[in-house]
Amino acid sequence: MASSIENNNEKLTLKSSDGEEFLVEKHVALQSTLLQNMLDSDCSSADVIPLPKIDARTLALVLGYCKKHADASSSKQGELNSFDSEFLKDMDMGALFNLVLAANFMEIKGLLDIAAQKIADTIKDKPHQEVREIFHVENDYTPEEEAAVREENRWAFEGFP
Amino acid sequence: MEQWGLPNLPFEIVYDILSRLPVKSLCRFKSVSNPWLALITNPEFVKSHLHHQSTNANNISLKIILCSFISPFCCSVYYQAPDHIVAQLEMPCKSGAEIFGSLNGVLLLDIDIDEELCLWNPSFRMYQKFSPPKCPDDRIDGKIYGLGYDSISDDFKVVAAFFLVSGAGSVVHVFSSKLSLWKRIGVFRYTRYLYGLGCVLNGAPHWYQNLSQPDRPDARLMYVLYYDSVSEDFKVVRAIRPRGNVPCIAHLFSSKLSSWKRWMGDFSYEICENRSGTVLNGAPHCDCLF
Repeated sequence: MASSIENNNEKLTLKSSDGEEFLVEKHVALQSTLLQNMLDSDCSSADVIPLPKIDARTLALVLGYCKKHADASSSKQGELNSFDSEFLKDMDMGALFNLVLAANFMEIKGLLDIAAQKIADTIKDKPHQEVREIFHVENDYTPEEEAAVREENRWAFEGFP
Repeated sequence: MEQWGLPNLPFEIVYDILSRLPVKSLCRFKSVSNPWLALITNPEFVKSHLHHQSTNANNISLKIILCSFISPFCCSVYYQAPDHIVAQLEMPCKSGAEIFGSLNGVLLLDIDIDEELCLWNPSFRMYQKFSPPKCPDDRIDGKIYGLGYDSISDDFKVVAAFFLVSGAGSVVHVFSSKLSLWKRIGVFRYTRYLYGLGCVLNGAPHWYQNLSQPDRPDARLMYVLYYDSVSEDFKVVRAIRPRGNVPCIAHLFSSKLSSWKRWMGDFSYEICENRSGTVLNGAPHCDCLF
């Protein structure tokens, strides 16, 4: 696979969990450490690479991010930053969760970083009951225990129900 | 955009997200569940949270902690230009306390003049209390505490030096936060009468010491020295000749002092510089001035 970096026009096919195929330029795919490792080993670009954990909608978003970052030169950091915030701006929590999972699976550090930060920024002012639902956490406190933990952290609950 | 269902996130991603949250949110989210409480109060998590906050340039927060040694009053001054936010803190004790240095968001408190010592993380409201080491009063005429951090064993260390009446130097004990145990290190000939509050720099408490020069008894030389917890020894940084009044050790290290001074007016204070996230160290002494 000596040609993997020299030949920028080479393409490969990624297949989402719901069966949709995406034709991707190799230098775009290289944003993903997972794909990079696969290409460095023995995967032929003729193969279709299945991504069983990522649905087509999420994969389209991920590839949009990768394309922007692969095409931009390193001198355009400011432009990339504004792309990143625009990219995540109106995304709901479901999209963000899928994105962070995909970035984690495909090992795209930059995307994982901005998606995790966006989730943190979104939940930081939410009441804990809502956070519990968002993360599917079972409340294993007795009402007494929960009241005690809350009382210990009273200062953090100012303005919260 | 239509609402997508929320998938379950693996533990390491939840961990990553939580370490990006402000302390106040984390304290609220202790109420989510027992596993979340355990995670948020886990020392490893606290450390990675601090690391996260201090490496993110947008999050650098400077705090000064003011603590009264007369009554249990403590407040933090959060410096964020152009405003300063002052908040009263609930102390882990019922009496006054003196701060002997701070490091990575943890303060060393001497509660009620040697009644108890305490390592306290005011942001996370976590503390570890322990008794000072025993040393017969008739053999000593002074003592000093200092806070250090041993990065090899990832352990907070508390140094206690007792100055011997005999003039033979000082007896030094070191407390390991991990083991919750004091260990007698030995007698050090050259560490008598250390001054300063043990300002922490690079994980080690620093003091200064005045020495007369043998050939010119009236001229004093000042040594800055620190305790190195790896070699378990004191090391001299440099000798300087003070001009006028003996300077507080903070002045030797602080480049940010002028900005603090402007808004702190005439308070008596000691601050030393540190790169930090949650709490910047500072050990001002004032009696409920806020």
